[in-house]
Amino acid sequence: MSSAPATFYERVDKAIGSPALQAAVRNATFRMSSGRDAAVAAFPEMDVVRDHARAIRAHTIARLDHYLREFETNVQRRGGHVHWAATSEEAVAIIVAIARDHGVKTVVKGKSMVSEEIELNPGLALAGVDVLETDLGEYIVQLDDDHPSHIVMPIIHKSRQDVARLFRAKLHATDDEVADAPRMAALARRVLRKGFLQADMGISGGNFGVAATGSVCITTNEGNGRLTTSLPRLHVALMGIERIVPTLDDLGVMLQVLGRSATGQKLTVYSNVMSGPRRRGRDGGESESDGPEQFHVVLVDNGRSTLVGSDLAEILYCIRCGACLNSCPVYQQMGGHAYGSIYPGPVGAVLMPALQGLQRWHDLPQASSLCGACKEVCPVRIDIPRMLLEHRDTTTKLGLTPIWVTFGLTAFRQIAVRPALFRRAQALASWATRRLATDGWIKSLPGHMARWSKKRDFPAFASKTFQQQWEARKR
Amino acid sequence: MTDSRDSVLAAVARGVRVGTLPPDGRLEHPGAPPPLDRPSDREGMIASFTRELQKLMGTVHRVADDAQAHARVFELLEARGVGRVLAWDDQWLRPASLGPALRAKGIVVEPCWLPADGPDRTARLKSLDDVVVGITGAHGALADTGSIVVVSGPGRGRIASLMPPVHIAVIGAEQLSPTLPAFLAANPSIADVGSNVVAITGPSRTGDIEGTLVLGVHGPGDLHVIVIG
Amino acid sequence: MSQTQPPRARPTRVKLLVTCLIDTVYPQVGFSTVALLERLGVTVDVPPNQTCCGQPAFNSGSWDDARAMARHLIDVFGDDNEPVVVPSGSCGDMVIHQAPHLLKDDPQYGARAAALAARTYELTQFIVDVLGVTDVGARSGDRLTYHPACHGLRGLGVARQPLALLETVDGPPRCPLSDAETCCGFGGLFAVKLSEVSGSLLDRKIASIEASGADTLVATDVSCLMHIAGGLHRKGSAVKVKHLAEVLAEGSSR
Repeated sequence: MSSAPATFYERVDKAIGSPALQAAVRNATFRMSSGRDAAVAAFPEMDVVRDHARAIRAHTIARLDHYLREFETNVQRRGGHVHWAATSEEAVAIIVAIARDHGVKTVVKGKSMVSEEIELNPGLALAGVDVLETDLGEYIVQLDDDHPSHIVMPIIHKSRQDVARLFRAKLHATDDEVADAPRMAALARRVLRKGFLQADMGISGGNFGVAATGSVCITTNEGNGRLTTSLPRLHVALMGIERIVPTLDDLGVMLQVLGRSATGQKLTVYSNVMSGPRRRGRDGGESESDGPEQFHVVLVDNGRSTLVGSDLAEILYCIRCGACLNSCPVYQQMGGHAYGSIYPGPVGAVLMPALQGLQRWHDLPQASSLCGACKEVCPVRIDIPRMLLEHRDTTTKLGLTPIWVTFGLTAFRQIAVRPALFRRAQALASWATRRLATDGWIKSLPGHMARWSKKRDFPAFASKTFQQQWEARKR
Repeated sequence: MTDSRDSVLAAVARGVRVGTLPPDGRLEHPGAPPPLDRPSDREGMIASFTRELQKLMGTVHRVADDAQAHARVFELLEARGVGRVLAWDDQWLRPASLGPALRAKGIVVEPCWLPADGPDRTARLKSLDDVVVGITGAHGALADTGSIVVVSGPGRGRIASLMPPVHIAVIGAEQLSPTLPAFLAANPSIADVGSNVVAITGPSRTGDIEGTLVLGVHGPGDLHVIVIG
Repeated sequence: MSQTQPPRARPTRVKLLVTCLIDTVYPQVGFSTVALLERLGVTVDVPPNQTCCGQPAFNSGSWDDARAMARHLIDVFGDDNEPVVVPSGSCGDMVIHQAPHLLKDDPQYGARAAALAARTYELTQFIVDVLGVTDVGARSGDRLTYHPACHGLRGLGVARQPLALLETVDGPPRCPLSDAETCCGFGGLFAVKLSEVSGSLLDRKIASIEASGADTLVATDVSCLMHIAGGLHRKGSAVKVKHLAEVLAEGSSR
């Protein structure tokens, strides 16, 4: 995120200071979360299915090594290849090697958050491979040298006018071609079509890997996922190691909650299950008409294995629906870029420190009022607030919590375990606030508390506490 | 590279052995999917399928028999002035007589065959790029979501339901399943049938630009399902 | 979600967990709570030496500090069987859910924390679920609108109880609050650490309140009320804030 302002708090201020961004994010998150609410209201079995979905994910993560082996065996059984990448660098190297080994010059790419995580596109560019993003939002991000701000809808931070300006500049589009969203989408379709027809390799993400059948499932609404994985002669699917489910029946359960939670759709338009490359007939039998000649799966660890068996294992259940982002009041007010991370929002606030360390990401778990809306909407019932609190505990243990906070809380604790002292502190605070107050309210608090006073007044404390008055009444 | 495989699996196995339970403590596989109470009678399923797909701006044509199915296909082609289609092989279309009937009408029926290698493959794709209509059957359909399940195979190319801007799928009413879990339970070896199994739920769409719904971004924007029976 | 062990007989005596905010800033809410419970035939004891349940320290990741305060609270409330009533969803969540978890490895306090949690109730839970009462005979002349505090709503699952109680208050019809379940932005130290976002959420909540046509905002948590009241006062708004206990204890239509 090199072009972003330096610190988290600076990015937050920038986001809050932009009414246009705020309006765009509010509208998009409202649309998606009301879509979700409507879909859930229309699906009487949602709670039961969510419980079941969570149990599938919990079981799978608890036996992840077994299911990864089963997945690999079955991909290979169907003539596919499985590659293992411990780190981002390895994952990029593997894909570059596949490209080199097969004379790949051009790549079309479907949406993949993991590809952002490993910084795949720059790696391929360095190797002289042209990469074309085909998801409309990701294509716009690519054209604009930008970053997605949401894990499902990449450009909720851009207005229609932003896109029109971009298409005029980068595609030399005419006014007619950018007059409205349908025309801009049609222009993008024409441009991207050429890419699909001549690309040597298609790279997709993977919503789920199915262990029992060696399949990779991707869900898209546009159809770019299907084109990416059917037209070029090579298909590479890139997936985190945690995205496994045991069987196709389990996949069916996950699909029931994924679309509804993400956008309010019962199913994404194309729920695509790919099991190996184009099947060739054996012993003179017929071959499939089309499809990729080769099917490669790249499994990426990049820190995920360290979470298995830990207090944070639950974050591996995530199916990347984005519902937590859409329901989070903090995300709603500031959008994804403020987080400065690949994965923003509540899931990002748990995942980024978990994968890349609190030294770098300790601000993110603080960016929450712990309201619990994320946990309420999560299709696999991940207890995000619990893990944010775990991160905050670890942040303190690592000495990363600001001194004024730790000092203040320890001082408060020393007083709070000594009731007589606590009462004296209450009396002092009461006197101080009443001195600072006019008509019962303080306009401007001193020190670190001044930030409270930017937006609200602070009450003068009562002249006698409840317990004092209670004691007095008893006598 | 095998080193990474070993090191990743070893790291995962270590975590699995430590095995901190999630707070609810359940770790066994939960078993078969929860049942969904949906209409499973033919009329109920057709009504549900039709309602759902039409909500998504797909079009459902219910016809009584094969002859009417032919007629409906021809109407759709004539309305668009189409003389060339991309289609599955005859024996995979529904009815099997549809392919010959199209050719008898002078319509060019392109097969879905794609060559294996680069230049020939690209050339073939480019030659198919201006075909307006793709015609396929389906392996099944899902009543409660308005989806058709299309499986690849010999003579059943993926591109017929993918490249042209118009997709016509002809199915029999008996192919309907009440729900996705019901379909999967009835078709446990579906991944063996074809390398590509896709549930298509309406025309292609995007809301990426300011949330405005646009149909037909990459896949077909005009989806017609003809249901016979 | 929270309580799984309601007492067998209708309690006639409870202990009040006053909470440090009510004790220090809003003692009238404590007295309203006592008056309300007494009207319902319940005698209220207030164990002395109450300080703070430790939630701010817990939320900030200072868990040792939080444990120390939780232990003190357990000592204050003792180990008898008397139900403990707390007029706050956030302190309630701390005592009922977080403290037992924080102290689970403590040989002395672990079991005591769990035992205390098992007999602690948020105020509206106690009235509606334990006493079985929804009509307390309250009367109010205010146009009321209700904000469901997050920790009570999602932490303790307290959703219908406050609404049921408000429903029976004699007076003008309740004003619905748009976007009601969206956080007010307080979040403890969050309000200071991420004050821009907190302020933005406060603006949003106040906009909903002003659009509701109400003259009084009601909630079950004084932390939210303090935050919202501070924003209303800064804006020069005439809208009042009241804890639900104050509304229910106010006028009596009996």
